[in-house]
Amino acid sequence: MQLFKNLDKDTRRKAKKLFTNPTAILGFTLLTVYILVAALAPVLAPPADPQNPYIIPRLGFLTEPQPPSAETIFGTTEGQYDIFYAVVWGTRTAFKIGFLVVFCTTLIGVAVGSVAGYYRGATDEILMRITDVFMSIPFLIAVIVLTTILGKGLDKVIIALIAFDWMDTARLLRGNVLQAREEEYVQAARSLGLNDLRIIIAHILPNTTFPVIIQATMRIGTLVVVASGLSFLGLGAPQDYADWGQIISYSRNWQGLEFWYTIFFPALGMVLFVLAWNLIGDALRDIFDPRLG
Amino acid sequence: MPCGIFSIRGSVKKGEKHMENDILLQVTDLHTHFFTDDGVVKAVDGVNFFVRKGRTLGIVGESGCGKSITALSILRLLDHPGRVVAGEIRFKGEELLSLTEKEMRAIRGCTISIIFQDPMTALNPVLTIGDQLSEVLLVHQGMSPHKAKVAVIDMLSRVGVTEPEKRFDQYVHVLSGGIQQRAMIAMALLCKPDLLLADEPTTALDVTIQAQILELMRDIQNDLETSIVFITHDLGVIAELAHDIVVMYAGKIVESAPVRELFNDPRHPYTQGLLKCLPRLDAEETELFTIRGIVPGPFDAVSGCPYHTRCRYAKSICRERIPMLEEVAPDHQAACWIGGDEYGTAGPILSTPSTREG
Repeated sequence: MQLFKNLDKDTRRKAKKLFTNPTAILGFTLLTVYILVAALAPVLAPPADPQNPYIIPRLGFLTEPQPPSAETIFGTTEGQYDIFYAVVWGTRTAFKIGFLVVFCTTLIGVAVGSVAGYYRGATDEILMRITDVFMSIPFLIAVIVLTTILGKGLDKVIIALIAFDWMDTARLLRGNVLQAREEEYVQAARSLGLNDLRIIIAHILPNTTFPVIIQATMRIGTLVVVASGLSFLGLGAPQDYADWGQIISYSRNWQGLEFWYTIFFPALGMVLFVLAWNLIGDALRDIFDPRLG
Repeated sequence: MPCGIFSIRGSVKKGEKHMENDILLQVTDLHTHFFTDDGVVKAVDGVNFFVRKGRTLGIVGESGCGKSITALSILRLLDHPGRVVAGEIRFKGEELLSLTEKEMRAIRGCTISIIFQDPMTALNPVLTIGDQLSEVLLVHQGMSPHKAKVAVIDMLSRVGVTEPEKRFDQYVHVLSGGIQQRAMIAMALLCKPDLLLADEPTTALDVTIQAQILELMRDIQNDLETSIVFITHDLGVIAELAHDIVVMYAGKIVESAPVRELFNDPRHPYTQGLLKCLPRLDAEETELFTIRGIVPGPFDAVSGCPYHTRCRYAKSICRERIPMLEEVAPDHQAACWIGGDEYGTAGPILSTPSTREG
């Protein structure tokens, strides 16, 4: 592979393994499709109002959902919201929520975990007990309550998810940092007169963050499902906002297989999205985690 | 004995002031203890020595006698539960133990640097050699990355690293042990330190590489006039490099002398034992001498002289009272009751040192 020519042998071998691993290939293919859909959303489903592209267009005001047709290939929900449009633009919403929440929680988790693990003692005790308090509250209930307090809206959901999903990362990293700080290269770095911040960022984190990255990859999918769940419950995206959970909530009043398309397409989008991230996470772990060989 | 040419000594002699401005590092009555859950471990227990400018002091002893802890104490790199509880460490007239952590950081890696035993573990596996070495210059001298790269490559070639430009972008695991240790040495020398602490730098290397590294350290000393504290358990290595030697046992200095004096006329039974353990080409014995027993464990309360449990000449006083370092010959101190004044004439072995040449 020409691309990896200037990397060292080991990295090259792992990269090759990654791109020949069937799990990884499937995961990356799915992800590529999603990225393309999100990127090409304005082409696939041109918005009526380019200023507010996330508003799902309505094709009428009929109560009963309408099956797929030439005009609306995924059909419409009750109130005639275009499902295809919602699924396509919902991809963007999913990426926004997933990346933003995972980025922020990873940042918080890494900061808390590395400080606790590096300084140990009282600092560690305090930070880990705070983490325990956050962990003792059931995740979904905590997020629902916080969103309710903050008010309806996707931004509120994002804040609530960030507030209650950084603990696993903090714990994972703390353990790794505790182990890494005993390595001789850390003492060597101290003997060179580097300050603690530099030692943590430049010497310890590069040796400890890999499991965190794998975990973060897997969390993206899960978080999107939780956010959709909140939208479904009416806590997340507003009424006509393009979001997978939101569009499914329109089928709450309709039972039976007759209106399968109102659930099937948004759900398919969600399932494959979660699958893509989990496959990628699995593949990364298989290849890079030395403990799994 | 032409002792005069070996002008440095390893231990502080009371009342001697005339050469003081020549002294780079002076360690006085250093006590480093580890406060563990099982009790206090006195890893370094009242150690005195000094290092003169441009000279090498060898610290010799078995595993666990406090050599490395002494080096870490000087740089104040001890981690919980270890702590320097008493003593003075004066470096260029400055008391290191009273400096703030920030002032100490400015000294570490800059005016005092350290080389560790195993370069494979002491160099960060995920950073390139170049990144790690440049970092020293970026931090201490505020150099631009570009200038630092030039300086690093220059230093790498000075310490005999072949193809330094290529090594600059390589990771530790692709280098051979010899090159790794040279890179470590280069890292320690980048800021041209006044004092280099070498903690068993040749132990992890094979004999031919060992010889090259010793040669390199001698050249460095000649070029940069760096003082070196060389810690080792290997008397053969120390004989080649050190001007002066202190022998440590169970956290204490038991003997200190200029190198030739120590090898020709060892006074402490422990030093004698160590020297007898060395294989000799001219000896007829087919079996090597061993010192029986082991170093007392960290929680063993040994009364009197810490060595008496293994000493062949131990008398009752050895079990009761701790011997002090005393002058047994010019520039030569030993902490042993048998050689001391109290018993007048020394034991038979002590008066006719077994390793005296010709």
